[in-house]
Amino acid sequence: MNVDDVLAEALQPLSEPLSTAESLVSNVLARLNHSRPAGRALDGPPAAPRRSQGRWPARVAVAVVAIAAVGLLLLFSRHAPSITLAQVTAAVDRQHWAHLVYRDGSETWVCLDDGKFLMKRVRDSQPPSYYLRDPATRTEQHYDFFHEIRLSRPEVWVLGRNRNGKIIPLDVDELTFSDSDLARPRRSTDEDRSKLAAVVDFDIVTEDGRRLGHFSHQRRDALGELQVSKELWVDLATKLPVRIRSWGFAAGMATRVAREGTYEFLEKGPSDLYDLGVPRTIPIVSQIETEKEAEQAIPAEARRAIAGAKSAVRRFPHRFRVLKIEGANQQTITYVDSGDAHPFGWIAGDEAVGTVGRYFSADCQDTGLASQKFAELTAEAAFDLSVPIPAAEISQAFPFASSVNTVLIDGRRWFVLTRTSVNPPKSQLQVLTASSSRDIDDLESQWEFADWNWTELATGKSSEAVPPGQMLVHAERVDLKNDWFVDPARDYTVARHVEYRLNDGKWEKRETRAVKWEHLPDGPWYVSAWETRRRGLVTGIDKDGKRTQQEEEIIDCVRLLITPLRPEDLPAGLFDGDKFLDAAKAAGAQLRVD
Amino acid sequence: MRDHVELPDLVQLAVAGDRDAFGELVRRYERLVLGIAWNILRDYHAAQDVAQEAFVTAYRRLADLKNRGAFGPWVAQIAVRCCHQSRDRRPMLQLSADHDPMQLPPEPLLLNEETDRILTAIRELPEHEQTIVFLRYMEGHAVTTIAKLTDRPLGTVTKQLSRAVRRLQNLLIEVES
Repeated sequence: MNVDDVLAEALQPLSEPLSTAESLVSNVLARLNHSRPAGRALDGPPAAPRRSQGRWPARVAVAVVAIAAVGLLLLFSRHAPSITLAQVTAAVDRQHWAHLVYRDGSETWVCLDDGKFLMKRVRDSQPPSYYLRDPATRTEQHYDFFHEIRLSRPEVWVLGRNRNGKIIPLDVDELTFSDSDLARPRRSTDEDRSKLAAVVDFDIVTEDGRRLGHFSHQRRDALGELQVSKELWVDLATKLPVRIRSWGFAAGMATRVAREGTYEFLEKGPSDLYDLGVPRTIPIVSQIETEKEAEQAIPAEARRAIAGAKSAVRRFPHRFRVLKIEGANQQTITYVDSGDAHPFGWIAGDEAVGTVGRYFSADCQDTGLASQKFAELTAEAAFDLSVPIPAAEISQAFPFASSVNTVLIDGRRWFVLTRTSVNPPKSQLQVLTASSSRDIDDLESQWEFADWNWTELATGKSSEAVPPGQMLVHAERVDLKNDWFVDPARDYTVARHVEYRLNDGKWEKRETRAVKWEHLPDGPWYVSAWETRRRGLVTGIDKDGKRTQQEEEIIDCVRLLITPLRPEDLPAGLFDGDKFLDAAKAAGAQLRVD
Repeated sequence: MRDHVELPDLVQLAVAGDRDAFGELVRRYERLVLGIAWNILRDYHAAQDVAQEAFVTAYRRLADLKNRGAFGPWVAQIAVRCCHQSRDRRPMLQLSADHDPMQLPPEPLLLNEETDRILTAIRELPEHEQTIVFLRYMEGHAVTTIAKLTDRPLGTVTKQLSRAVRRLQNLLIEVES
């Protein structure tokens, strides 16, 4: 029996209810009588006893209210829909295939008999992606990069069952309902709307002669305002869902847009991804069986390098500043405070994963908008590796007011300020609820192989020779090959990285070579300067003054300086999200709140 | 009966003050919470007290629960903390004369050896991995569902689950050896 089965067999019984005799329910509910209701404001101090002003008027008032309530209830019940979750479940159970088609061309198919699930997803201006999950063979198929359908057998596999025990993929939330709301048509109260994280309103509408139950799901956005997130219409006669509308943002847009889909229930559905539109010439290629098998198949040297990288990353400080200088006209400053957690949880493989932490970064894309002093400081350091980066002076003079991209994570929210024009000022501020920390790409890329896909690490061989003293980690898939030459003497950082990417049938090479390292006090080595070589189009002017473009080798040089910080070294108010929000609003930023 | 109500809706009703809804939450997760308390305390009476305490604490903090579909792992973590607090307080407790700390729980609660061993190992995991393991193996959610419940990217959840399983394997092997 594999570990998956062992865990499921051991833990699933814990979800069984206890018998009435052993149950804690009555005891817990009795104790709740002394607790304030969850989610409500703390009750005020108990009112002081008051002398009765005459009990009869109070009783009459209570009686009047009670009679009015009964009247309202009777009135309301006449309009209550004759629909329950059990009816909807039963109605869906009688069907064989559910098909949900969105107006953008996306579609989902679910076989309600065996749980087979197929999806075609259309995204803005991108080719569609396809996905199939087949419970009968415990396999998944993905098609999204146009060379092959990748077939895999995930280690983690579970079949959802609905309330009648019928197999149904649990992630099809379009087919899940809230019976409390079905049973109680209502608009949420002002109190609920001011306090709850999410509310659902219910009403009945008539469309094309059909009476439909309409559910409006609303949830709080990152700034705490209720926003409609999903609407669902259910036919009160057939008890089947009819239509769904979900609200979200299109890429780059500041206003919410609706994505609308309609349901149909059919006898038969597609049998494979080809039926859904994948060209039949595309082969299905089986991947290494499971992630565990892939890990075991990684070459020994690569495994040693990964272990060394993880060990090095664990020694990284938790608070630091990063100054990045890319040539004379592009600089970035970043502050990281990951608290007690680890800033590179993924690579370190420790409990930092999922921790939000605090983060601030701003860039300068045009030193013409900065002070003369800033331009001089950065230009000197950009072109001469022997010149130490004057970190304190650059930090002081950094032109935050003209940054094109500023990102702040205050521990709860992400703020992404994009300033597209300084004069006249024009900017957009996106606010999101933070659920994870931000990757620090320039640092994580120094140990990139340590968090790479295991299947790809276990595939193929490099044709390159390994320099003495270095280790080679190779990874490849059908459209991408990587060689990382790792320096074990400098904490397994990447000394040279060669990437081949298949683009329009042609392999494009990109090579990055470390040229300088620094050693963090009490921490690991890191690459403090590197150059990247790639082929690209370079624009020029010919002798007649005409604009020309020709492909040339482009060399980018980057310098990096990391300064570990103590909590007291962090600039005051740096991570203050409210202050940041107010300043952006005052500057006229267009708000987009997710 | 609320047994057909979706978990996030139950939590929402409970947040709104519906005690019957909270009673249903207790019914669904009491075996898990009691199992954890027993696993840590090895004292059935204390485990019952702590399990009740955990649910009352959960009720008070219910509005703080962001991912309402993850009520189970969340209350499990509360239970672990309550157990540690209880263990710290235990030298102060006056045990009644008929209290036998070595007694086994009644048959319906008795965890089999494997479950007990696995619960012990799960407690060694970071909290976010415990959450995913409970959602996956106790509640039987698909990884895609877990990603939605925990508001994390699918790839993140897959990686976390793989790591958790590997860690559990190692921990279980260590226990065996």
